[in-house]
Amino acid sequence: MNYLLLILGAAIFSFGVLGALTLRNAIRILMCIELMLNGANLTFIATASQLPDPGLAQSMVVFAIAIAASETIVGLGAIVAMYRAKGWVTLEQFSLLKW
Amino acid sequence: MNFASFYPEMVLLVGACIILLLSVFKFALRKYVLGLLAILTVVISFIVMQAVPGIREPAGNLFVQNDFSNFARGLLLVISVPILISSLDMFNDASKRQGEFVFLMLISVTGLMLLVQSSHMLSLYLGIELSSIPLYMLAGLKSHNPKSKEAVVKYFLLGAFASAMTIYGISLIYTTAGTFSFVELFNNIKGTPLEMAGFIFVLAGLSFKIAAVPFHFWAPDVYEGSPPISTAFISVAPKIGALIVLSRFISMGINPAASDNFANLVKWSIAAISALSMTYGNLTAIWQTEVKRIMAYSSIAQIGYMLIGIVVIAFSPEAVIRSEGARGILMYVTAYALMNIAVFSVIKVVEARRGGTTLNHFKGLSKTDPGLALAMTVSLVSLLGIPFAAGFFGKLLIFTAGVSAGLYWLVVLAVINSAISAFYYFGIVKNMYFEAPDQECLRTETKPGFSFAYLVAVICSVLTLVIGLLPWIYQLIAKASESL
Amino acid sequence: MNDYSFGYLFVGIFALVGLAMGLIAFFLAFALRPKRIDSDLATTSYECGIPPKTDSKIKFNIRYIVFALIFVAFDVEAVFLYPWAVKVKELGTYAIFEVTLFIAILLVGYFYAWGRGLLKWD
Repeated sequence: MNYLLLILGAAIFSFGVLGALTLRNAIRILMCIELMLNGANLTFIATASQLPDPGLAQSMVVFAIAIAASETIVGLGAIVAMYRAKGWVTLEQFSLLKW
Repeated sequence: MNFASFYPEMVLLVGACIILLLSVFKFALRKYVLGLLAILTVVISFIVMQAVPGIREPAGNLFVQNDFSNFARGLLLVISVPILISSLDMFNDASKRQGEFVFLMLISVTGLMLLVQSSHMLSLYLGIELSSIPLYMLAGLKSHNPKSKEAVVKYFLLGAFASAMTIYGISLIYTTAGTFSFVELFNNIKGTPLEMAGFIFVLAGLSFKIAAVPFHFWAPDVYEGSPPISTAFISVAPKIGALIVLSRFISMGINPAASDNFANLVKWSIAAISALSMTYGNLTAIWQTEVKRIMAYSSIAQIGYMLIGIVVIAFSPEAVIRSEGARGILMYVTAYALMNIAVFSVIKVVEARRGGTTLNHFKGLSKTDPGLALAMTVSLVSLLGIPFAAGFFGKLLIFTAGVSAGLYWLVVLAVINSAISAFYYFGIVKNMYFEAPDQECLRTETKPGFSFAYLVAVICSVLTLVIGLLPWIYQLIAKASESL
Repeated sequence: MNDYSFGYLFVGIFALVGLAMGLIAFFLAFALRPKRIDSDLATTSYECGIPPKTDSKIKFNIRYIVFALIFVAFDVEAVFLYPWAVKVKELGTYAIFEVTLFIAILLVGYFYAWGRGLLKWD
């Protein structure tokens, strides 16, 4: 088992979680969520390289990349719409609905 | 891969694309043409689903098609019809948004239909994402409400966070079990700490979709900020999908004999989520004054009752009790869908006519709009579970399943919670019938014209009264739950 | 060491050489540059020989984001075409049909963006 890669994946995921929970700028949170996804992708790849049939996990990673991209597009669209309406994207300024 | 088994999903996809492309052009009666096309697509998809003979495993071990998943697919198609009808209220004829709304909704239904048949982590993840990415957009579509933009950013960020947790959980389970397929997980899960953490992550992602307690933060804000018809969809459809796939995951993928630690974790984590959801939802709903927020907390409580069915499946390995739990879930979900669509259609009409949805806006509704008040009352009474409305039969099946699995403490808690929920459900009813209309709110009242949401509210509340008394629905549900 | 990890050896060497070249360039610039700076203009960033007018952190026109988003959507979907291209000979005509379907679905999105006028600058 490739423990180093697994630990690296877990570390990347944890950085993502930490950032997503502590940062207050919507775009930064989005970047941290991408980090979390990449931690998962690295874990898939690390595990798959040890198995006789790595294809399934690798296709999972391909799907995850595509889904992450579409999620980012939707999220950026929503954030830009909010910026156009209000002029800010930091969550502390959520005035009408409390964060 | 058997293509014919997925014709219903393909019909939805093709119909959605055609509607999206048509919505670019301007033509006479566009709103009704697009709406009718959407409903037609759903109806054709339903007919195709009945016509195509089912195969148990149409695409390797990715999907399972049996009576259980087919019931859920049919239910998803059936509930999207009233939502599509009442969505006609949201748009004027020149609106560019209608095509988008219909497209996103149909795509989301497609994703959920794939989700309810999934028996593999890959199809589970794809189904979750395909259904929830359109939901983020639906939450923010067509709204002049300043809260809407904040609600959609919040919903998106928390949703993306939850799905990242799901996929990391899947990867953790994969590290030691080495497989994605539920059937193979049954033998391969050994209960290592990595697998336990992975299960918790996957469960966290799914509980986000159903707004169960530790992951419910988005629900009140999104319900308040989104247009009510989108909310009706958001509050009903993902819950059906996530509950069905969770019950399949537990019944197919988890071997209670393999590892005591893992089986205990599964049992007690879901039981805890269920107990916390109903208690928190009910205790918080009492203090709210905005009806949309009351309904949000009420739906958190309702998901707590529904999860009892999953807890039953997790606690008892016997097939008979499991199918009893599945029966409870299916009946409750059906009833809940009807009641919630009716309630949010009423909220839509009240918002359009009186300019708001606080409890004050509901005061004296029985005098100005007796039909609307009656529809709301029927749905609330059914949500509360008073006999002979659909919600009563749902609760009855769920609670009896809980008793036969020996979960007395959970059932007692649920009954106490049902009693608590009477406070706020009857609070709305009291405001509608026994209070004088608030002049502040009446001043904004527009002249009532024909409203599709009104129609849907009346139809759904009548169905709520009738559906629990129809024997064939029980036969259908019994047949479906046998095949869990 | 198996073949799979052996491939990474070349990647490692390549990375080391690349890093070394960058560092050497930095070091050379550091060693050769004049030590005494006379004018303020010499410390500003070099942009085609024209003195810069504003701060480099400017806000881009928000209209760019529509193009950027559409670009990202179509760009990333190409990730599915690479595995397909590797295996297309083995999979045969059925795979060509499937990928045509995939691109047709993407084209629906493209035509919608076109029809809604998102590709126009004004």
